[in-house]
Amino acid sequence: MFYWFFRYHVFFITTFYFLLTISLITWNTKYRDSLSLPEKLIFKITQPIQKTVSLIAHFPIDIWENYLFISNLTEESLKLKEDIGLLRAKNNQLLETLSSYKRVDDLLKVKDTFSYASIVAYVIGGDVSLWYKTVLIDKGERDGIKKGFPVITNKGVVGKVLKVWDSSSRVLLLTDHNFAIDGIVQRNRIKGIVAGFDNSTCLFKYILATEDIRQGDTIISSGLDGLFPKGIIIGTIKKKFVDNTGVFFHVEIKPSADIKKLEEVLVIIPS
Amino acid sequence: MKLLFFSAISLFLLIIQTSFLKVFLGSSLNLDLTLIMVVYFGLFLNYHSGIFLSFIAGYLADILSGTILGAIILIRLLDFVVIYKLKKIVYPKNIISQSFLVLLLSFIENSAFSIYFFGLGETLFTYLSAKIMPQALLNSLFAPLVISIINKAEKSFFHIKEI
Repeated sequence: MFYWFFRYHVFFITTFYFLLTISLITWNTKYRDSLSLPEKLIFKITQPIQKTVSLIAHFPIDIWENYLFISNLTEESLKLKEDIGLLRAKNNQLLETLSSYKRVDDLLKVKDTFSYASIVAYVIGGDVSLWYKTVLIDKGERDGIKKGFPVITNKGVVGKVLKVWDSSSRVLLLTDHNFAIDGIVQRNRIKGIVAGFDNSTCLFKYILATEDIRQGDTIISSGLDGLFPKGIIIGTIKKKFVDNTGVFFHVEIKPSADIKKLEEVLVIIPS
Repeated sequence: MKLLFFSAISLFLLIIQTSFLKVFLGSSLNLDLTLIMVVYFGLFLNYHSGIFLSFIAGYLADILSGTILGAIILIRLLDFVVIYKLKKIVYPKNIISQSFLVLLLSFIENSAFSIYFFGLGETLFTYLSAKIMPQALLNSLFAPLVISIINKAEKSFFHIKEI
């Protein structure tokens, strides 16, 4: 018996790990509704580091963009270049701070127009995988955030909260395949489902080929999904054609919110 | 001790991947450090440690991503088994072998994701040139560097001398 086990131990170990993983996936999809202790622990360790690293990483980009601008001033003396460089760097930092305040201010204006409570959060990280579109924000359970809460910017829908930890949350973006929201065409109230497609595009699904939709039409949230308040801009139609079935339109939407350059977002707390 | 060391390295690389590299590479490209890490486990560690660490690397990646818990573990376990089988026919210390293995796995993995999401239509060919190949090339280009850094860290941490 033992001889037999040792002879085929590689097979047994491999099978064990694969079965363990499959059980984990099954348990996770069927029975789980909260985070496990190891997950909470790992996140508690990584979140502050991620936040710091993300902040540090933004700094050289600002400096680099600034440097590229300065390097064009070839006729200036080296001393002057250095001086300008330093001043530009300082100025850039100030402008960055000012722009950050402006963005937060814009968000707060949106916040004031809602009858819902909301929280401003900063994006501090991305997703490990290239194929799943999520971001990490710096607000969590202790700020009142719960799974499923809608996330927007002053320009439009961003996504919804997918996982919540103590002081941070993961947001499923509008462009992810697992995301769906009930939408309507603002011009003529045609209903459909907006779902993620690729990095910068969404699909407006189940629109009959006989319906009147046009390129440039604005899609807004209908409020029927019970998640997003009615009237929030999702995006504009950038492409449409009749699909292979001949029954529906294939409609591509450009999201209004700049999904690729998210820095600050607003998490809506449903009443 | 070695298992703990590599688990910590995996966590560190994941933090770099999700924060620092995201800022520089944006959302269209992603240097997959966990894949490179698993290639390292497959090439340089024994089967028991390697498969355990691949499981841990996948688990950590799952926690730090928006996928179902277990999805990345499954991919990483498959990666490890493939690498371990291919180890016999390649020279593990050769940087071309390392790059090739990462290129191969990255290509297969991303193609599988693309087929899963978009099917076998025209989109696959668009993604092949726009996303899958650049992604695989980026990973394979950086693989020897990342592997050599991990190797050096392991040697200096455990005071292993080169023979």
